[in-house]
Amino acid sequence: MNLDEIDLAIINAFRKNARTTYKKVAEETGISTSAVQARFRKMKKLGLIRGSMINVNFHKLGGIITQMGIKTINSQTKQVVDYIYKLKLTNALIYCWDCIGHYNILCWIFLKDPIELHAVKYMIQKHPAVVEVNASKITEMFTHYDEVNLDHLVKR
Amino acid sequence: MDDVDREIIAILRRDAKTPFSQIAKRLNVGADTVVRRFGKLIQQGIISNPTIFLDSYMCGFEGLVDFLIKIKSGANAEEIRVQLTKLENVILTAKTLGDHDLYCSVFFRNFGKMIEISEQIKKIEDIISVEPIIYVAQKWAIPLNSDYNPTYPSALNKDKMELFG
Repeated sequence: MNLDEIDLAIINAFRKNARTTYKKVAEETGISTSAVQARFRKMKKLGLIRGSMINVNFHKLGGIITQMGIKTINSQTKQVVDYIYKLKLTNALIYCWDCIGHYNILCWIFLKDPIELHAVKYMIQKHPAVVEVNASKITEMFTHYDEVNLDHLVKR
Repeated sequence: MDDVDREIIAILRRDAKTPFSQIAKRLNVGADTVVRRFGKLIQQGIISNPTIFLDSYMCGFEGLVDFLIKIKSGANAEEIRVQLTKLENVILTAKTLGDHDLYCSVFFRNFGKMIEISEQIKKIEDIISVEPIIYVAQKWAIPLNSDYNPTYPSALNKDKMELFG
């Protein structure tokens, strides 16, 4: 994959604000709007740009975010993932499984209140392959994704 | 918060670049309504940081590591969190209540680098223990915005994740 500095500038502009316009980015990078659009499409086609999204602050909606670490009997992680999936939690998000470390599964669950958290934790604990469940409430969260330095992508 | 707000959020969670005119068309409301609602949601802090996410593997990162950190009682968690944000390639820091006190996610380019980061964290004052959890299998970058993450295994259906009202 060969990126130049303009490609990187485009990526960085959209990382900072995905809703910026091609026109604005064109002004910043000094190339035409259509060229920005073409470069963006190309990087999307390459698979470098996977999509876009927005941060939703669940705290402000009155809910709670919990991070759950789940330790399972080895080799049965997949069954537990399927089990959690079948609980049909409307806002559960297993973002990592088969990881290396103390827990085999990490997930985030967005819940209405502590009572619901308790119920969910209990249900997960009930699975025979689950050894340990640890829930931590996330009180404040900060993302720094747009600050990750990608300068090494440009070959000089 | 009403259904229109919720729908706007749901659409933007899947694609933050969706033009306002398209959202308006889909929800059958005026474009200016969408613009106004969007402004209000941003102002209230309910939504923030629209961003694009990249393939972390193509960006030269071998994996992601989560550090679950315990600190001394009475230590200033915010101060320690700020120190964590200075780590290289950190994408998320959070304060938590429960088994651990702080939590951060860091991209790493190779295992040597990961161990280096781990050592750096251990050197921060008032930290009692650091528990790394490493994942290398997934190749997707995680924007780790507070709620939604498209990196779950494909067996999981993203339509299941709806906003609650």
